[in-house]
Amino acid sequence: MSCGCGKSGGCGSSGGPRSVVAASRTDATKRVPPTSDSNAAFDLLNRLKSETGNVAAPAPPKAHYRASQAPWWVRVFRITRIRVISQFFFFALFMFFCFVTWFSRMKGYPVSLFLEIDPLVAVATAISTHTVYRNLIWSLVLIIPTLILGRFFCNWMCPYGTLHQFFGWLFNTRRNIDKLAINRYRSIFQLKYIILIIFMVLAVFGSLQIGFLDPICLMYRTMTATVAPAADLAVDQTSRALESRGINAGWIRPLAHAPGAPDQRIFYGAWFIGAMIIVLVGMNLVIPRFFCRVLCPLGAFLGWLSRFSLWRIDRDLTRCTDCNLCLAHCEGASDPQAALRKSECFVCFNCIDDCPEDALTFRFLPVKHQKAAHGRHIISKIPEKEVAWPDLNRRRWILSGFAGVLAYPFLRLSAAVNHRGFNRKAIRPPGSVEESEFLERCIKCDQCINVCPTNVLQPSKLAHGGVEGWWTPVMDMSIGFCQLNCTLCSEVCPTGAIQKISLEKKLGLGQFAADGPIRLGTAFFNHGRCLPWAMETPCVVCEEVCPVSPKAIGTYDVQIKRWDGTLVTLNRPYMRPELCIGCGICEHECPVIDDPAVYVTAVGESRSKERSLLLRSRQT
Amino acid sequence: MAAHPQPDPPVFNTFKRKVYRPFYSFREFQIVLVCLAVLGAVLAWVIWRGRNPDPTLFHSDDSLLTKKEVPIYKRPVEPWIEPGSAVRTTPSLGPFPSEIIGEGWTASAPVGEFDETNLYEKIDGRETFYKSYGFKRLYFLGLASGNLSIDIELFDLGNIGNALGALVAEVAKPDAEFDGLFYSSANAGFLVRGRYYARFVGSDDDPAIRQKIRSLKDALLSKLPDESLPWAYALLANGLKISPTKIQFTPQDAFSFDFATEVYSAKVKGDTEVFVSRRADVAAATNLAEKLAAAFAGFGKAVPGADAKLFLNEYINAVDGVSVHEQYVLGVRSAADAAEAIKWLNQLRDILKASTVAPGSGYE
Amino acid sequence: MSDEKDLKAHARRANAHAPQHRHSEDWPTRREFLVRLGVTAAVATGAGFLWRALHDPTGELGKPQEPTLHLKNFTVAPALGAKTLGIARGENYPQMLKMAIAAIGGIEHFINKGDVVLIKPNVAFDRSPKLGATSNPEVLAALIHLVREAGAAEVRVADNPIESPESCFAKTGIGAAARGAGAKVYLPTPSSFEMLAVPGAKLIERWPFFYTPFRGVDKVIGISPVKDHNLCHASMCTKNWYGLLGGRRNQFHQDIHNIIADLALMMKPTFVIMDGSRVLMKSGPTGGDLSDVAMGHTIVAATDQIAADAWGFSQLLGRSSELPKYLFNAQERGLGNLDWKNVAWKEEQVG
Repeated sequence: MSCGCGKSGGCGSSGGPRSVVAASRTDATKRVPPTSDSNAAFDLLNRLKSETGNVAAPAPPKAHYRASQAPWWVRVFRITRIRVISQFFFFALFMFFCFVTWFSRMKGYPVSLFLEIDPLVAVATAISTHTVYRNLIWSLVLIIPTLILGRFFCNWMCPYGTLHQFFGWLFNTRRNIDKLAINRYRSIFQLKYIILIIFMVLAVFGSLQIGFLDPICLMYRTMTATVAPAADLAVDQTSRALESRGINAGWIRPLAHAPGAPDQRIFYGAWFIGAMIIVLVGMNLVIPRFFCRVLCPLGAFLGWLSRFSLWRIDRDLTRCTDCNLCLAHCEGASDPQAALRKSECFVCFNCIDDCPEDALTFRFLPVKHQKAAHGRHIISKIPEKEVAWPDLNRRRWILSGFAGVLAYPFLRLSAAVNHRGFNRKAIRPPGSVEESEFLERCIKCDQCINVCPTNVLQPSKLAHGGVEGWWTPVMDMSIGFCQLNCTLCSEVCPTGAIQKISLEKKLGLGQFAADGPIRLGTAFFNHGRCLPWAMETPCVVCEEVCPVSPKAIGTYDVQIKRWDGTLVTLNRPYMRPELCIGCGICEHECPVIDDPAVYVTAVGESRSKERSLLLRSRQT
Repeated sequence: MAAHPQPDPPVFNTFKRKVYRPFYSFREFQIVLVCLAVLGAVLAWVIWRGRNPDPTLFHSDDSLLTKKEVPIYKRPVEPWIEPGSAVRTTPSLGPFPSEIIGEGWTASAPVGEFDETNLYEKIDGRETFYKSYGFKRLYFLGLASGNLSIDIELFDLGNIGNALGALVAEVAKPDAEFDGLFYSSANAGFLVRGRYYARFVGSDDDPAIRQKIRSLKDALLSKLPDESLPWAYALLANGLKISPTKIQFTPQDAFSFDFATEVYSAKVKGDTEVFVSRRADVAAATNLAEKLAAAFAGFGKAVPGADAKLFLNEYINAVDGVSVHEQYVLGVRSAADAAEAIKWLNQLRDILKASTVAPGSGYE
Repeated sequence: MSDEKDLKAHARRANAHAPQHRHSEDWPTRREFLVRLGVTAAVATGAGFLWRALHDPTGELGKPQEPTLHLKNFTVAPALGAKTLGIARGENYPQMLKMAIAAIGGIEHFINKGDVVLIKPNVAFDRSPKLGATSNPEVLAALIHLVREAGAAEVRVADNPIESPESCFAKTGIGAAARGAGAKVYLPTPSSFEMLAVPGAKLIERWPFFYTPFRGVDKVIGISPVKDHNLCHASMCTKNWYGLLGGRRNQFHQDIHNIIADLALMMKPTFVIMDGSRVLMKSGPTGGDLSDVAMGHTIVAATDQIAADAWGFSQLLGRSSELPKYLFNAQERGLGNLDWKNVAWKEEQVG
């Protein structure tokens, strides 16, 4: 037992860490505390004064407090505290946005805000489409501060980072010595840069794949496909159990994500999306913030931007005793105890809290090589102060680029994303741009799927669009249907894969009359399974629910004598293809539920000339 | 005893965060306040955005409602025809509803259609009668059941006025008992529905035929479109309480005068007959009335009558009269005396004045 | 076990004669022996009892037992001299509604103080009320006000639409109208449906029913638009109850006339309102174009939904053909009188 205390929880509070570092201490305890030198964060002014040798300038009153004398409000409202508050705030905001991404709650909330400020989304779509769509301009509010302050997003705003940090913290029962070891930089952390390079090269070719691992996309997708429906299930079952016992469950119902959905919402491949979150969160027990450090392409991109940041954590070599205590809570594993890896640092400020020697500060334009100053000697045995660029040598990033170049043809030559081999069930939501352009824009965030009131939108399976189109939205009319007067998916799409359309445009009215309505595909009848066509049985639910006027489904009415000798009149449905908009409510309501007798396929969709069906669609 | 096993680690982190930093700064506190302010601003902005939704997303926009009349062809019902019966497939039953065939009966031939160019093929000799009632088209269907057969002739006469006129003229029995606009006798039936005038003629006077004729009547009544009655029926049927089937519509050559067209007439009491006709305007009406007056004058002499022109027919010792009210020509024939003639004419005029038949009233 | 006893047991073991192949230390003490035997016996016996209690020889017991619920008869004995049909024509809907209900006995006759009243509008589609595919929110709001003025403690509005419920309630204006008039709106959730027994029904003897809003309800009022319908010819008061069913209701079109007659059997409302303010003349039941809609300027209140449907079919939809078959089916089963001319009715012009 190295720390000498067997009882749980004793390590932190019993002074163990001190004893760990005590051996490495030199004369630090005897050192005179600084007066005017910058011992706290952000103190540019003082720093400039010290650089110019103006050591004797008296400190402004109350500028610095010794820990034992600091008033409570200074100790409570320290920078790491506001960081935690900010993380809670943005995590709560993110969850709130997910929660209100629903017809009755959405109002005017910018529910896709986190995607819109996500610089990776903006930059990657700018590379693939050469434009910055609609609200993606907001990404500047992250790009510019990152260029100044570093990768602060990861530990101040990113809800996915907060999730990982929280679970890493919650299950962190490591002994102190292990805490230091686990937060050391590892070469596996290069992987995220390799991932980023491959994604960026693909984006150059017009294949946008960042959504697989972009944390915001990943988290929205996870919320949509697993957490939100799970909440619905829990709320519904609980309130049913309460109500059947006569207990009022009115208070619990509003907690459901999708109130007023008569059926439990279900999603393709929810198990896999769920498994991903479990594995990725679980990995925090092995390596804290495994996702953020190893996989996150957004982190990699921000890390690359951080190379230019003006501020960074700076280690005063005259104070640092190489005790390594700063590693204990280092979120980014950015080597604050040695040469700071600027690209890995999350700007969490935990190291400053942890440094008993007051050696670490957040500095403006710090120097790389420090000389002894102000009468103090360099005592740290590690002379380097900074590693500016991501730790990826030229050879690796060039090879990663090649991997991206090769990946493009392998992805794009899959038949599923080709006009000749596309899946007939790859029906895109209304307002979607033409398929190759769609793949330049869609980030698989699945916001459209979350907001869809009928559950028709689904994260596509591999069969629909290969790996390239995996988790992009497709419509499954067996599960839902495209509601005629609804354009919510186009409202929430952050990248314009589904362009913001007005109802006027969707229905082809007014100024859009010449274009006609947006067609998602075309409905077909399978006479072999249709009750009136094949089974002498009246039906025509499809005709009844067809929402366009005049109806796109007509009937041929025939009188027949059934096998039992009774005369029945059958309304046998047929399509009026020029009128069909492919909304799929006919397929959804067809009683032949496993393989509907009327079904929509993508052919005839108005977004694509290649996939059109009729020579001329009448505009009615 | 063996050494103590490793204690189970706690499930959750129970360590208290300890801060080792020796100094705090006031500037840091100021920055914290700035951060809090930024968070507050973000929150306020989100709330503001929430309160300003795009209304078109969540409410129906009535300005987008359309009013487009798109004609849709509706294929008529294909009736069941027992395989092996005379007619396997009927390409079209024309205006006939599918129920017209019914259980036990089969169509002996497809529906025959005749227009004015070949009407004589079907109705030789009487074609002028139907043509005078605005003949448009004749649909012919023969039904058979065993030895019995029924011929159905369905005349499209353009409007209900013509159809009624043809019916009344063809039945031509003053005491005929009608069932609505249907008349049947022995093995025949006559029906008016909308612009259609239908004749059913059975092969025998047989109960099965009579029953079939009644079901044919029901089928046509329920499936053929109805029309409202022409204006003159409002005047005569509503005003004078004359059954519509007693009103005679003569499209041409009324009272054998070649200028008298579109005349509605009805016996009101004994031989006394009133008639009305409408012209486009007052001048045309006056012109017609003058011509009638001149014609009536040829049978006798004028007798005084307020604003009507009355003539005593010296051959039958009865009074004929004619007057004009707006574009309507009102008349009476074979009244017992001048007083009665005036009475009827006034009554007609009063009804007209009550404007129950003003253009646009229900009887147009 | 305390240390002292442990030591005693130890000593006993040490003194005892060892059997041939085992050291005496290996044998449990008598006490240990009895305790271990007892524990094993208790677990085994417990398992036996538990298994006997859970035993299901045929496999039937293990199937889910769905409780079956019944709907009560919500009708009220007719008032003296009250008509069966009250018809009001005009353009002032609240006034017309009042007159129409007055003709069938007046709202106070039907609603007692403290009643919980459920109103079932038709909110099937998410489109503007002007398209006539759904109940008119103005008429609904007027009805809720009337019912509340009559002393109802709670008014609920519920429907299970074909399109997504929230959006249907929002875009038809019915959600806002209902809440604005002080009613509570119930939207269906997966667990809102319970198995309902309708004894004597031909097709829905047991069928999932939107039951949550019906808990504790005293009176039920239907308020339905008048719509064309290709298969059953007309969707009016009786067909309106379709919106309370769940499950596989897309099968109903295979025998639509018997289903609608079953609906009349299932639901015996306090009274029904036929909202003929707009009439969907064609392209029903969805409509979608103003040319499909005619202004009907009529509101009918009825205690006999079959008579009301028959009246609406000929007088509002203006159909001269034979009445829909479901009305005959319902009449045959004694659920109403389709010969509206021979029931007591009163027609008034308002304004």
